[in-house]
This record gives sequence, structure tokens and C-alpha cells, in this order.
Amino acid sequence: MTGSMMVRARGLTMRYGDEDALVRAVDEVDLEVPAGQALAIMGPSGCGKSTLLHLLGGLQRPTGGEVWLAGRRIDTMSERALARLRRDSVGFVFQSFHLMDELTAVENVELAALLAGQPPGRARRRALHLLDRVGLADRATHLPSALSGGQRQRVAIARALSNEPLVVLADEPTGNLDSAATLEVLRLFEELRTTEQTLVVVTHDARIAAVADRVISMRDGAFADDTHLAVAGTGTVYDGRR
Amino acid sequence: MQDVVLAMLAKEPAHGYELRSRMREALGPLGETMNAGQIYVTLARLAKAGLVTSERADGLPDRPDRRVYALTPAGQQRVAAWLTEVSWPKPDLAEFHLKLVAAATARLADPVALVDAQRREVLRRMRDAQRAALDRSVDPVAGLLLEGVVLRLRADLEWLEECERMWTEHNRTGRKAGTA
Amino acid sequence: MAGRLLLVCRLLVRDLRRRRAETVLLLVAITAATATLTLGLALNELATRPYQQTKTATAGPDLVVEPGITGPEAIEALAPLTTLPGVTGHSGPYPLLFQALTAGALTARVVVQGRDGAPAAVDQPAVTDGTWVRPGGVVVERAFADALGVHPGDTVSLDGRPLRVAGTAVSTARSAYPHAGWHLPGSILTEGGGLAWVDRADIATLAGDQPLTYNLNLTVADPADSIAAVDPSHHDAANPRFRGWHMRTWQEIADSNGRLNAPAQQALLVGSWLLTVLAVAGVAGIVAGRVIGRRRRVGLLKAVGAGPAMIAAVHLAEYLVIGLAAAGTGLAVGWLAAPPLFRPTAGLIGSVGVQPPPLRLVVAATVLALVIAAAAALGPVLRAATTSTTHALADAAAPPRRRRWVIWLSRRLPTALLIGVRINARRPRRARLVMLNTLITTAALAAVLTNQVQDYDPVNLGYSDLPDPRVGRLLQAMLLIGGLACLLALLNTIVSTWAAVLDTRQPLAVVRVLGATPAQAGLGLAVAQLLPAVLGVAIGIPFGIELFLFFAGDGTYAPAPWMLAAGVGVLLAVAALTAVPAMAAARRPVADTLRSAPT
Repeated sequence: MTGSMMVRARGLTMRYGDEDALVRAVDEVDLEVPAGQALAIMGPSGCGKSTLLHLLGGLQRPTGGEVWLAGRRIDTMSERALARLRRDSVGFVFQSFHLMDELTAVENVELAALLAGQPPGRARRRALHLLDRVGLADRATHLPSALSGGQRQRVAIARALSNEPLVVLADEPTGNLDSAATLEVLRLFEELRTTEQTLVVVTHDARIAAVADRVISMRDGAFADDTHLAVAGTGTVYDGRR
Repeated sequence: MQDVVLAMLAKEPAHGYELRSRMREALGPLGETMNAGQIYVTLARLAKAGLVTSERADGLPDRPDRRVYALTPAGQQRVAAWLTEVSWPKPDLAEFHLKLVAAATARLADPVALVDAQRREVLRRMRDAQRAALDRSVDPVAGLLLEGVVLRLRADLEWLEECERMWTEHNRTGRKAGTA
Repeated sequence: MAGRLLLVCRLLVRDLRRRRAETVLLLVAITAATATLTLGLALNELATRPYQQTKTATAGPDLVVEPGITGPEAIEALAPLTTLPGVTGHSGPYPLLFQALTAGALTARVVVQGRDGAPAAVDQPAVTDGTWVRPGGVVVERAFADALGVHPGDTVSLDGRPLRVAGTAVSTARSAYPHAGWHLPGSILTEGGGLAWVDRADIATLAGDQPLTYNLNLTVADPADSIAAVDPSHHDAANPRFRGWHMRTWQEIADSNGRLNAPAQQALLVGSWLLTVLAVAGVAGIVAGRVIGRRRRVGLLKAVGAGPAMIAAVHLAEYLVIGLAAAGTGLAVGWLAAPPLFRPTAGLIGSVGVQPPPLRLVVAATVLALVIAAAAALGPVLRAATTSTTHALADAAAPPRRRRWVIWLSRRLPTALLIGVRINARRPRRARLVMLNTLITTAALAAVLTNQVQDYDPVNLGYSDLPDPRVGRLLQAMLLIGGLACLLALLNTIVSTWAAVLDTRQPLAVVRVLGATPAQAGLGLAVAQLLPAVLGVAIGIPFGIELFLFFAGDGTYAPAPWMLAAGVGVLLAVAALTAVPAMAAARRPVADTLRSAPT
């Protein structure tokens, strides 16, 4: 029963290597994210949180388990269908921004809409609107090399929002940013949270986690702790690993 | 608190209520939780120590908040010395640390569970502080204080994660060895 | 100083060993450039060497004298010539007959010379197959034999009289087929024909009614001016004594042989320049493409304390070593490949490869290799030495080019084309190299096709029509150039595609994250490579045709469908070579190609 679950995973596993050198990047993870929730996944380096995010977004195929996104099962989808899914339902934000160096900010943002088949005029207008929303309206014609780290990430976030995604997945969005830039991005995430955008953020910075509705700690590929920040005292501790 | 109050009087004498409002302004949202009477108690102590003088203002009732306070030369000296001090407030983690040790030794509770609960609480505190800091209506100077609170809490959270790791390991080896 | 040198050497060796793949690739490319240049120059050498070699091997004459009179008077007229002061040796006089040789369905004019079984002092033809003359047998000159398709053991007929072919031989006493100098006895007009030898004893039977002409082979003291030894006035036409006589100097014979190769040589010369350009473009592609990561290594060197001078020294030394190695290999390959690839006229023996190449060839090849290596080194070295260490360590590629109008235009295109056009615009240098690659290849193919449709007159040998041997050699030369061009182009395309796949890994991954399907991404990359290829083909076809016609004089144009087919063929090859790796790369899950930080 998916109900209003935006993201759902059951028994999700990602294994690398063979018998002798088996690595379980993600180990039998169960997860349910209702629509509108802002979820932060924290954990030390190498605990598999980025891999989990990739699996949830269809960027990688799990070796075991099932993933549902907006009610559709994605671990068995073809690459082509996954591409369409990413186009219409998922927005990605990465640690290293992944903007095109030769395109201006507005051209970067409108690319997502152009790939979705939108006419160029509409794509451009939407891009400008989104840049305005993230506070970069005056930098629309700047190349990424002329933007600061925080500004670049904000352009990336605008791009992720371009096709009105059902869920935004962010992988260490402030990993490459200094303190001031982190604050800019934090503010944006807080705003997204208040607009009921389903958000899953992987981060090692507790500040980001702190603005989420729910924080999950991950260790060695499995969940160790699940805290809902809105209500004091609620939280689950996963005993599997103890 | 004492030095802060002295410093606020360094420029010119001020009424009690002025001092209080100035302090609340500088502290921003954190200032709201400040005890109203705290500052007057401090002023009384300072007066006793001879660092400030307190006078009754003309035409105003004789209440601590209406009195006019001014620095004495001794007070001035103290302010000058305080400004150049570089001592930093020590983080006090000893109490919590000892709590965990006690719980483990006396088998009162699972230290890991304690750490988890504490982490959750610290996380919630951090969330409140962070949300307050992000609020655009906060003036930048007060926002700076909130930033400092958030960053300190973040450091504390990191330490708590270390605690959890170590105590989990401790539990595991304890179980293996068959002893506590 | 010695310590510094040792350090440079050690760094050099370690560097080359670590980067085996790229070193080998660069080596191969520069070797290709050197080899093609060497081939072109070597084939030029092939024109002159074989004559000299054959002359030495057969003790060829410096002057061949054939009086205009026939019969015993001719022998008398020739007798005093052998004792002239300038003459060092002679053989003959040998009887000559001018007849027609029939082999199977073909009949051609033939000059028949009567020889003894015993070896002669001057002009002893070298037997290449079978045996020398014997009674009842005929030895056919090798080129002539090849043209007629006769082998030792076959039966041919001379003016109707059957004879057995005893063997084939080569000689420098007469120009090779088809200019053996056939003429009616007593006439000075010569026509085309072949050469054959029979036993002297058979001449009388074979002659029938024809009067016998005689020729004398002479070697002289001063080969530079052989006629002067016989006729000091230097002009047999003016001297009444030699009116009507045929005198052929060895230079004339050599030239005549050489002329057979003229069209082929020209084609090879032009072709080898084209090939060298192609090979250099290939090197440029390797260096410009990020197949070799230069900057990071410089950064590491800088980080351990090497100054700019040391860095430049290490890099230049590296490239020098590669250049010299490539020069040696290229020289060897080009020089040794020339003879088997392009046999000299069948009428001469040539074993050019056994001898070492001439000095100027070695110098030319080495200079070319070093220049290419230095040019390949200098650009990145200069850039690397001036980048800040952190930049160099980050090994950031040069930023892609921004073309506003391309970006604006491509917005309206469907996804695959949008991706392709934009990827193409990012790296103009690579696009130019792809264009050059296809341009030269298509030009070579167009030239070959144009050559095929030319209507070459058959050589006139009086009876049957036999193909002009020059045409055959030209075709051989053009096919050789065309084949090598295709090979080099293949290599270049593979390198170019490799560089393109590496370079576009990141942007294609991003585009796939945004929602492009693997098919669209792969197609986009293929389109990006195809766009400059189309331009190259479009320019290459007329360029190739005009190039050929420029050298060949006027000619007919090949039918358009052929050219179109050639162009489409090249494009299909490029498309296939690009599409396969592009699709393979695009099919992998996005997370594998995306360079996100590991967590």
C-alpha cells in the first residue's frame, strides 16, 4: 500500500564485488517517505548514503530489493523509462554542481525544460522565473566561472526544480561550499520545505539535517537511527546492527 | 554577565531599563529567554564591589530599573582589562561524559541509548537555532550569535556521534568478553 | 650538471613507463607521419635506383649503337668503333630482327636479338625466370612477358614460327617494354614493341626475308658523355658518317624507363604529402584530445619542487625520445615497405630495401619527426609551466568553447541533435581535425574513382591492344595511397572518438540525469562527430577530383552516384566507428559515469 508515499524502498541492497571481497554499500534498507516530507540522511564517509540516493533516483540499479517512486516501481525500469522518469519526476542536486561550463545560468536552467520537449520560449521564461526564485535574477547571463560556489549550487537547484519534480534528491549539496554559501543553500532548502516539496538530502553537515523534518543516521549501509524533529521524543533506533 | 554590563556603561551612564533593552537587542531571539531580573542583580553586585555607582534619577521612583548607573574609575580599569582578555569559554562536556561512564559502570542504563536521546535533543536545539538564524527579519549582528550557537551545537553533535561509535564498540567487546 | 641530467633521465624513464598507452599511441602516430613521408621519398628513389642496380647486375652498356644499314656492311661499319680510345669495352655486334610475337590471343611487335649461350662482357641480361637462350628457345624480356602473360615453358610464335619460352630476363641495353625501339630495318622511325632474345643460330631461320640489323653495346671511359667517345662532334644527325644510325645513351634509356613511372610517381608524391598531413592531424588529435593528461603530471613535478626549467627539460626530453624513436621506426617501416608495396617496372630488378637509405632521406624523416614531437610538446609545456600548481594538480581540461549562436539555434532542435550540435561546438579543434581527416580520405577516394573512369589509350604495339603499363602503375600507386589514407583515417577516427568519449563523459552524464535517454546521448555524440565529417566529405570530393585533374590534365568526371556512394561510405564508416563506443558508453548506468564525491 503505497498510499501517499512518495518514495518507498523495501529490502534495498547494493552489493559490489564477489565472494571474497564483498562490499555491501546498501544493506537491506526499508524506507518510506511521505509526500511533502523533508528527509535528511546523515552518516560518516563510506556508509553508503550517496549510493542509497542514487538507487532512489534511478541512477543506479540495485542488486536486490524494490524501489517505488510516486507509486511506480523503478528498479525494474529500462534505462529509457528511467530517463523519462528523471525528466518528469525527479530533480537532482549534486555536490559538484555539474553545470555546463559553456552555458550561462539561464541556459543551464532551461536545458532541463528543453530536454523535456518544451518550446524554447516557454523554457526560457520558466528558467528566468526560477532564477528569480532562488535569488539570482541579476546573474542570469553569467557563466558558471563568474559565479561563486553558493550561486552555482543555487543555479543547480533552480535547474532541478525546472520540470516541477515530485521529489528533489540532493547529494551533499553543501559539500563543496564554504560557510556563507552553505547558508544561502540552507535558506533555499528551508524555503522548499515550507512549500511542501518532497526533499531527500544526503549530507554530513548537521546544519542541513537540522532544517529537515526527519533525520536518518546511516552506518555501514544500514539505518542506525530515525528521528522526527518536529515532535520531541519521537525517534526510532534500529537494533539490527547492535 | 558582570563585565558585559560594565562595558555597556563605558560610554556614558544609563538607566537600568536602557541597559536591559540594549542587551536584549544585541542578543536577538536568544535575548528573549533572558531573565528580566538578572541584570539588576548584577548591577547590585557591581555596585557593592565598587565598580559602578547608582543614583536615583530625579522625578522617578526608586526602582532598580529607573536608577542611573555609572562607572567608577575602578570599573573603567576593569573594562579596559576585560576587552583585552583572550580567555575563551570552556566547553563543559565532563558532566555528560561522566554520566555515560556512570551508567555503564553501574549498569544503570545503556550508554548508547543515552547518547542517542541526547543527540536527538541537541539536533532539535540546533534546528530551532538554525531556523531562527535563517529568519531574514533577524538583524545580522544578532544573527551572528545564532550562527555561533549552531556551529557549537554542530561540534557537540560530532562529539556525540563519536561517543556513540565508541560506546557501541565498547558494548560489543564487553559482550564478547562476557564481562561488562 | 650530471646530477641534474641523471634526474631528468630518471624522471623521463619513470614517466614513459607509467604512461605506456599514451606513449605508444603518440609513437605510432608520429611513426605513421614519418613512414608516409619516407615512403613517398623512397618511392622516388625507386625510380632511379633499379636502373642503376640492373645496369650493374647486367653489366649494362653506356652506349648502344645500331647502324641504319643492314647486313654485313653494318658489321664492317661497327668494327672500328670497338677500338676507339674512349671505348673501354664492347659486346656484339648482335643480330636484330623486327617481327611480331604471338602468344595466345595477343600479338605484338617484338625486337629479337640473337645471343650466344656464353656470357658477354657488356650487357649480359639477368635471367629472372627459367634459363638463358638455347637453340629452339626464346627468352622474353620480363615486362613484356608479364604483359603478354607468358611463362617459361609456354609456346609462342615469332612471325608464325613456334618457339618455346625458355625463360625471362631483364636488360638495360634497350628501353623496357613498351619502348623497345622497334623499327623497320633501315628506318629511323621507332615504334612501340617488346624485346626477346633467341639463340644466334636460330636467327637465320627466323629471319626469313628480313635483312639483319646489328647492334653494338659499348662501355666508355666517360659515361657522362658516352656519345663523345664514338662521335666527337656529338651529333649523329649532323655527322654524315652516322646518318640513319640509332645511338642510345644509357641516360636516354634510363629516362625512358623512368617515364613509365612518371604518372605513378607524381601520384605517390602528392599522395604522400596528403598522407603526412593526415598523420600529423592524427598526432594533433592525440595531443589536443585529453587522451594524454599532461597538466597533472606537471603539477606533481611542481609540487615536489621542480622549477619550470626542469619541467620543460623533462617534457622536451620525453618528446625528443619519442620523436627519435618514431623517426627510426618510421624510416625503417617506410623504407622497407616501399619495394613490396610498389615494385619497380618489371623490366628492372630492384632490391632497394637491402641498402641503407640515403642521408638526405634520413635527415628529412628525422627532422619531420622531431618537429612534430616538439610541436606536440611545446603547446602543453608552455601552458603547463605557466599554470598555477593547484590548477595543474586539478588537471582541469581547457574550458569548452562557448558559441552563442550555436546554443541559441540548437534550442529548437530535437534532443539528440541538440546534444550533438552543442557537443560539437564545445571543441572546435577536434571538429576541425575530424573534418580534415574525412576531407583527405574522401579526396583520396574521389581521386581513385576519377582515375578509374579515365579513358586511357592502349599502347600501340601494332596488332593487339595491350594496356599502357603506365596506367597500371598509376592505378597501383593510387590504390596504395587510397588504402593507406583509409588506414590512417581509421586510426585517426578511433583516436578522435576515444578523445570525444572521454571528453563528453561528464556533460553526457549530466544530460542523462536531466532526462535524456541513453539512445539520445549516444546519438548526440555520434552526430557531434558526424557534423564536421559531412563538411569534410562535401569539400573532399571536389577537392580530390580537381587535384587529380590538375595533375592529369583534362579528363572525364566520374559519375555523380559513384562520388555520392564514396562520400556516404566514408560517413557511414565514421558513424559506425563513433556510434558503437558512444552507445556502449551511454548504456551504462548514470551513476557510474557521474563523478560525484564518494560517500
